[in-house]
Amino acid sequence: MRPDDAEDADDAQDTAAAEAALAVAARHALHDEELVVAFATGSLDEENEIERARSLVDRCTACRELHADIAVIGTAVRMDARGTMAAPRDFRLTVEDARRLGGPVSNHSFLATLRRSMRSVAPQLGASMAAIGVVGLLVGSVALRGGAASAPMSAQSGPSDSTGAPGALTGAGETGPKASDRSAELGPLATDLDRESQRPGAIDSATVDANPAIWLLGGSVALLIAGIVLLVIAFRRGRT
Amino acid sequence: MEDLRATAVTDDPVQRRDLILLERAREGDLAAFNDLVVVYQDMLFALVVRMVPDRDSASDAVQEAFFSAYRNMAGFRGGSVKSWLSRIAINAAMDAQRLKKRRPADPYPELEDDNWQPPADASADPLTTALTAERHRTLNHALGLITNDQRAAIVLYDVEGFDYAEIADMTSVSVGTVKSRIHRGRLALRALLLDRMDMFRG
Repeated sequence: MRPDDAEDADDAQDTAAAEAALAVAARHALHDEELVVAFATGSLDEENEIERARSLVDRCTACRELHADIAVIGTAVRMDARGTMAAPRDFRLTVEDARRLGGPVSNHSFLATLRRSMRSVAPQLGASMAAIGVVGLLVGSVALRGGAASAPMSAQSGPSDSTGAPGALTGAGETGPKASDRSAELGPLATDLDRESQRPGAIDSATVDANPAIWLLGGSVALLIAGIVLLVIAFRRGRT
Repeated sequence: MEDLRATAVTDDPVQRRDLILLERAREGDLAAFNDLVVVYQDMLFALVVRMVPDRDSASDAVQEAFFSAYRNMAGFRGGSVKSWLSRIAINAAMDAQRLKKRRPADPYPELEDDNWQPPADASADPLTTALTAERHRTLNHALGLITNDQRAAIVLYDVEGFDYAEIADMTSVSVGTVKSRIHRGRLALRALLLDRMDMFRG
């Protein structure tokens, strides 16, 4: 073969290849590239669209290349995202920033911390207070019953002991002379009061004030109520 | 004030932690809000710097996003705190882009990505590391050339892993528009990277 013939053959081959490429490009120009991209991205839902895209990728070289390239670009972007890119500075807000922005911070941080810590201990605190209240109620009522039982006994022993009964009830040894002073000051009224105080089971107001069982009972009831309230609040917050 | 724990029953510990922190912040605990900032500042910066390829502008946008989040905490209506913060950051990034557009004489510089570190891989040799860095530069350059909307959609979908519905919600457009932006953005990226595709295929 002469060199000119070889050149002609090469030219013919190039022309044929160019024409083929042109034909492919011309055919591809009519294809829906976005459909192929959606197929490569995996975002097609309808079966007929998936089928159309698959058919394009199968039949058209340019669509096949596009499909492959889009998949590669997607992977590259995702891989690139795995690299870390640290923030160049700290973006935390200062108290001045918070104040300037009119946020809820201002001076409430302490209250918020207090409220939060109260909330975290509320169930335990409530249960403890309620338990102590119940125990206090039991102890108080036993003590009160004991005190009430001893009062009639003291009153009954009064007539046989001229100084014992009033002294036992009022809790003072020198009641006798005091009663006499009161008789002198109040006359018949004092006698009535003294008689009332000597009645079996009667407890005068001074005795009530001094009786620790009453205080214990009152305190226990208050503790029990406070504990129950705390428990209810904690329970309601827990449910929300 | 609405109790955030009631807004979303979630088994996701991250989500639960975020809601607790946000609720505390809403009660006035600045430290709790700053805990959220620490958790999300790298992620938001990585998101914004891909949309605003200028580190200073991206930093400013992220800071503005956290300011805005703090200002609007009371408006949070439950759901994902991460999505909520991302939405705010995207808006801040778009504001920054609009600002740049108004000043065309001051275009974005090439993204200075000295701060970017390739994923840790024990088997990576220096050649692979250099190739990864080159891919990153090329890809970011191309990302900087597509439209803002397309870039935001691609970054949110491919980089941050949000689904179409979440992106639609964040960018206030329909799911169809999000899909279209992603598809057209990828087509545009392919056109820009066509003569360098071998680098990515390898």
